Amino acid sequence: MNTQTKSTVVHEGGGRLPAHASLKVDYSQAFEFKFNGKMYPAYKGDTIVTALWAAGVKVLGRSFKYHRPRAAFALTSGDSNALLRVGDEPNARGNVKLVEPGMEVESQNVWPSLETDIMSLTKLGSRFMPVGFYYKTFMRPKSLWPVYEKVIRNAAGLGYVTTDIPEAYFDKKYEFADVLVIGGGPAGMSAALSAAEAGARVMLVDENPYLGGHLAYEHHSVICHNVAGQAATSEAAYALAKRLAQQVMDHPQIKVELNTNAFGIYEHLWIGAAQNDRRLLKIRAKSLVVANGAFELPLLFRNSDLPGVILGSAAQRLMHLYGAAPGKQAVVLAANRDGLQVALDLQAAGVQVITVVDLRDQPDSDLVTQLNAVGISVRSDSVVTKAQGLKEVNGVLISQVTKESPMKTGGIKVIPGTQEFVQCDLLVTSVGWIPATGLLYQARAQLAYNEERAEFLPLSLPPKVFAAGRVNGTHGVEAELQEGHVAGLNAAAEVGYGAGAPETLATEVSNLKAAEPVRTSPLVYVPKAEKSFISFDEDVSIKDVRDSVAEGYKSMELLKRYSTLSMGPSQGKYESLNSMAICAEANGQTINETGTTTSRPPFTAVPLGVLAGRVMEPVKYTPIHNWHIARGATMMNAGLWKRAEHYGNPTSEVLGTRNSLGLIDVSTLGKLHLYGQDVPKLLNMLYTNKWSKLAEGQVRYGVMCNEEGIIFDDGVTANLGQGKWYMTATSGGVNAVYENVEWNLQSGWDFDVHIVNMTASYAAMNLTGPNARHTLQALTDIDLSNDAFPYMAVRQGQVAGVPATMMRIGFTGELGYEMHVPAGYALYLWEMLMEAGQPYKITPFGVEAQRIMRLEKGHFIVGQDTDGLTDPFMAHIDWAVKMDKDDFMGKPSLLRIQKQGITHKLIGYEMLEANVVPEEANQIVIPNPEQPIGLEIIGRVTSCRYSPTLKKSIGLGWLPIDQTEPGTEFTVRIRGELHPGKVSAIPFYDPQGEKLKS
Amino acid sequence: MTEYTPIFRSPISPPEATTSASDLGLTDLTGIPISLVQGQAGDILQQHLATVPTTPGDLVALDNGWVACLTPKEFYLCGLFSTVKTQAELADNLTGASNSISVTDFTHAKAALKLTGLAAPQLLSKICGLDFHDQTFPNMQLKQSSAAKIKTLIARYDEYGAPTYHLHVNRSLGQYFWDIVWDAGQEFGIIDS
Repeated sequence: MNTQTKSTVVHEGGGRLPAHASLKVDYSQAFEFKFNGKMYPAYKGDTIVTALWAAGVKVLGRSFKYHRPRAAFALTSGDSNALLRVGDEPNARGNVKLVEPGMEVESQNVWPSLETDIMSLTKLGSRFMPVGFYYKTFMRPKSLWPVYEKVIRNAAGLGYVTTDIPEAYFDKKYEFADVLVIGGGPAGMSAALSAAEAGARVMLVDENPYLGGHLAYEHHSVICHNVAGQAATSEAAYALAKRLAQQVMDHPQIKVELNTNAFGIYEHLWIGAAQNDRRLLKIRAKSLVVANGAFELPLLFRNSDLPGVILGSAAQRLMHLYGAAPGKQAVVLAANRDGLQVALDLQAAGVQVITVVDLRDQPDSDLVTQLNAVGISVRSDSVVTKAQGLKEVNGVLISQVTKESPMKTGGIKVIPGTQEFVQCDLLVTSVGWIPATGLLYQARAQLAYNEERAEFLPLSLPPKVFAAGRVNGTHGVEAELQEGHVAGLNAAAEVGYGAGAPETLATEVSNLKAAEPVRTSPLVYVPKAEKSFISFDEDVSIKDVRDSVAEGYKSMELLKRYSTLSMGPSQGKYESLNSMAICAEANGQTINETGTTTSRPPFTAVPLGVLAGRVMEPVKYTPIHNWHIARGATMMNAGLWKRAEHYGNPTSEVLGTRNSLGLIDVSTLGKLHLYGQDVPKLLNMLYTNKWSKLAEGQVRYGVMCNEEGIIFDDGVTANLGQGKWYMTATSGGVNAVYENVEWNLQSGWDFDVHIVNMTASYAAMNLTGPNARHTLQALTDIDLSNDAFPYMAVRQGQVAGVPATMMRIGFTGELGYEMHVPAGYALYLWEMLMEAGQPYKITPFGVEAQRIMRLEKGHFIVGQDTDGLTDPFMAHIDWAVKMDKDDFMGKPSLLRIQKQGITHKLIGYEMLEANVVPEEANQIVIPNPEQPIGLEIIGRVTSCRYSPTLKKSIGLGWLPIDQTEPGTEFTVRIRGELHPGKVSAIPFYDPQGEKLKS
Repeated sequence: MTEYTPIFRSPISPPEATTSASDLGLTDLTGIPISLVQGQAGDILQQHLATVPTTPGDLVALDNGWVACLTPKEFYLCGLFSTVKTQAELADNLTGASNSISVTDFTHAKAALKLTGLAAPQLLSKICGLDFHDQTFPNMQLKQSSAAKIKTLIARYDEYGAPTYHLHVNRSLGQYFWDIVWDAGQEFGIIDS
């Protein structure tokens, strides 16, 4: 780790400014990080870009299409020029990502290096790559497509993804608020305080690691006369920001989440936000104040994308938040008082301001006076027409202009003979603002272009949504604060706190806004700027837009998709207004007539991991799980359950059980308690067989069908006496069975029955094999003799002191006792059974051995041997269907099926080659020359295993009804080869059930 | 017949014990007696317990536990009470009074966790979509919701002035749920208390 902590200020190359109260960097904590293989100094609080800028590094990467050198120009998250690779993370936003000690940062889209990028030669062929060229080229000859594809794939994309890296940790959090405020600038903080004072529970989110918005990076004095009923104040903007931020942070009703990007507004004020690019916040707000500010508008001139051309707000951020000098010699291009203020700030920071070029004929006299006083000239009616330099700015061309009145998109003309070259290493532009209305748009606000103010502004807002500050076209700090105050009061009132803002306050805000000077110039580009880039994301120029419109892409929605405007990483934040204006001009329409594109979430870039959130995959463990693991079991997934598949040798587990004694954990079985006098009626409706006469102490097997007569579950139910019954269902089907019963009990079956799902409450284990009785009898007082406890009986008592419900049933075909015991005692009982079974060499067995044994008995498994079309007749269990019952679920359908007859049947089979074991879903085929490979599929295999007991390959499968007689031969296609088999009677093992009933 | 002493085991294996102080503690209470009473049992329960909640979601503290009303016909009892010494006694009393009442011992059905501390609402907000603010989920309330993608009964029963939540999930999901809560609590310095 190349980390060093210093207690003294480090000024590398003079790029750092003296310490100041507004700075967010800590000069006492210095360290180093790596950029493109070289070490650079940084301070805690620096972003990657500010550390590099202070160290004299402006160029960060190359542009997407023409590989032009690019540097940060806005210093915001929406500035796509600062996408960098940080460690394994591609496309990290260098403007806002805080640099860390030892961090490794690389440029993207460069080859072989940032300084010498061969792909930059593509600009020489730009005439062959007009807008939409990829829709028109690479078509012919068809045979060359593989070559084109390879080249395109190498050239396209931004950054690369590394897949063999540890999974990053993401999570999510649910949040709730009466009033959610998006944006922690003056308007947002004012709104939050007012809503909270009214009694609302307020949440404020801001994408920055600090509150204050634009105030945080402004040093000039702000005078507020009577905001929110407070006395008049005059203080530096950053100091005001700190004072308000402290009030917000201290307020018990306000929860502040910083580093949090609100990226989407969905139905019913459900807001998605990404925190630290690691956590998804799902915020449910009752009312919403959007105060997320504005983006500064770039002006388009030749080379306006050249490194060293930056926005005024970016210069202020560099100086006042990070202590980085933006340059040494600057020219400022202004069209509002913000630009003049930036010039004063630059001069105060020690940057030599060569001149200020102002598009207006009458720049703000108060600021001009201040500029002149420090020796800075202000040229009115002037503009920068070109930035000079190869990789960075080394000068600008300035001209005097004449203007159309009113000013239009490209409405200026250069006065011949006035052009002048001015040497500088920095051009700062400040010509207007683009309200960040994307979120308001998503909230269904109506927006329109305001010709007078040259901004897209809300016309109307949906219920419970409010806007304040620059997003609402309000730029003066006093007006922002007052508008936030009104919005906060009204948002709180919407949800029942306070009476809202008095009408006089709203009027006052309107008056303040009306008195504000226009901040944004309608001018979008200067003469000869047609090749300058509107989109830094995708290298789309003014000419490209005009060509697109000429080709018929006149709508912004179509133009966007054809040209890729606003489809890059920044999603058009700094290009949308300019592109709309140029499209409108090309169409001969107004901006409002041309219309906008659609703002969709995410408003700001969100890592996919944030959306994916935390991986939460529920896993169910049986109470015996840890014993299985300790015994070296191979575990398998069975739905959400983990089950022991085997303990190393399923064959020996089968033989051990058949020959002596086995024990299996069947805790995953579904288990239900049924109470009430009407349980037999319920069972009669649920199962296809009869239940009215099942005596206390008896167990019966049953099959459940749905209303279409399709088998959906099976199991046994025991009559425990005193109106209490115990039902088992399949592991995967128990929830559906439970819900089915509950639904019917609550919506028609007027039975006196309570049902409780006890699946987790009981563990279950099956002790089975010829020695099961001897073993178990040693642990219980229950008489286990065949007469006292026969097959298909249930008994309740204690086994090794554990209360147990025991059923003489079994899937294996051997004498068996299925014990259902309270889960907390299950492991104890299991260990007791294992110990008691030692004299008989008890074998714990897993699911695989159980499947072999059940197959030997010919038992089907619902969902494996049956499917969504299987009825009981097809499944060969006609004996379990009692059509003489009054009614049961599926009876009408089964009557129809019985009348129509069935076409296929589930059969048992054995392969004629004993060692050939088909795979589940293998096809059963007959020769048919008319079929593509000469074979016709007539059936399929559903289960198959080699039986160690019978020493042959057996299974279950489906065949046409006329081929189901035992002895009928058929052919199975296994991995392309044909193997013979024949239908067998089932059960294969102990067909009379003598062992089972012994 | 041999005398046996069955050993009760929780489904949860907590991590190694920590000794550091924390504002957030997680405790495995699995094994605490839990009963589900179904049917028109309110009046009869009232005869056996000091007080019984009547509104779904309400929870009433009793001397060694609490009772909550899930629905007008379902009551959830956690712990034992001086007036009812055993679950079996309670079951006998209730079912003996009415055929339409059933009592199910849920002690082994649930993994019972207790989360205590000022950061508890924050932690739960990471795994559950409920609003855990005091106004919307005050003390002595119970809600059933999905937490960490599984059905969870959440009862707020504050201890020593700190927000305290009893989290009951199906026992088979106990270890999974503990792991999720434990992981979510790392940023708050959670300890096994």
